[in-house]
Amino acid sequence: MNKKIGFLAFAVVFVFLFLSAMYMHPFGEPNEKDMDNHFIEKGQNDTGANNIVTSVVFDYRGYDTLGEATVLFTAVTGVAVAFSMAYGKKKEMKEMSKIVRTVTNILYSFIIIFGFYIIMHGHLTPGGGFQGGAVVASAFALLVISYSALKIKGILKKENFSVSECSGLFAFIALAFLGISTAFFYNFLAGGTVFGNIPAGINPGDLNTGGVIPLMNIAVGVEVLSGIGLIILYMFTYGKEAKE
Amino acid sequence: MIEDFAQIMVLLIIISTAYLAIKLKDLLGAVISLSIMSLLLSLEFYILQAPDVAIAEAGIGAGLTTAIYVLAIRGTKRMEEG
Repeated sequence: MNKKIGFLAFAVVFVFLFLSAMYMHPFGEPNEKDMDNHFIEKGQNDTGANNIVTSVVFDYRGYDTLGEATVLFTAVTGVAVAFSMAYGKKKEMKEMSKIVRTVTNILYSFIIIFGFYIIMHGHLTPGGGFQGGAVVASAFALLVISYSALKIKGILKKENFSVSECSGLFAFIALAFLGISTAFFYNFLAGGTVFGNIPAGINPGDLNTGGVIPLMNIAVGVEVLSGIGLIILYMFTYGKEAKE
Repeated sequence: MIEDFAQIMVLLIIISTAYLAIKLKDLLGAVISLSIMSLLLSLEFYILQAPDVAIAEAGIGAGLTTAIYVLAIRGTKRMEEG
């Protein structure tokens, strides 16, 4: 009986997906082109960022990014509350083998540098605060998994992470409010002296462009890397066994 | 032509790794299979010219999710029961 229901659900979903794939419009040809064309033609001039995706994410549609950052903050708060109330005795976690630790020692600094590169160049190349923060946090996860939590405690502290997470989100919202004389999330630095150069045409990119976008990238990057690092630390150090 | 072939191959491997992730009784193997699926999904995003999404998928899907699952498995049991 259960199997029949499962097969029926599978068939319904499969038929739905198949039909929607049949009637999908062709790849790369949107139905309404007005807004896309506006972003592609005016985006570089309006915001000064070479990467149009980042200029949409942090400038035109800044509200969405604010929502994402808030969702992440709430999720981290929830994980912290849930894992602080975990019960039972603590389970000892051994550190991993020497091969894993040696590879981690070589790799982790490069991963962190690459993550900060993605954050800093968010307005020029693919990437940005969220992606770069996730890459840096994956280096933290590598450290935490390959070494035991006790050894890592001196370097990665929960208190520092929670402070930097809050300050990252606060800096992001403050940057959004600074342009409120025109509009929320207005790019008030574009065209000015700081980060204000507006590139013209096809160019390899310059760090000194993009207005508030690089600053917002850094703020969101700090928030994401410390938020996800906090989740990993909580899940590791409070990973307790259930009561027997 | 070669692009279509690459896409079909990547999608087939994605489906087979997703199936493996469900069927494997060894949970560590299932997690590795899931991370291979995420990595190939990010390759597919890159083929479809969405490098931003590809970086997010590679960092979060293949890196962080795997790490969190491995942490959870170390806290519990490696083999699935029943």
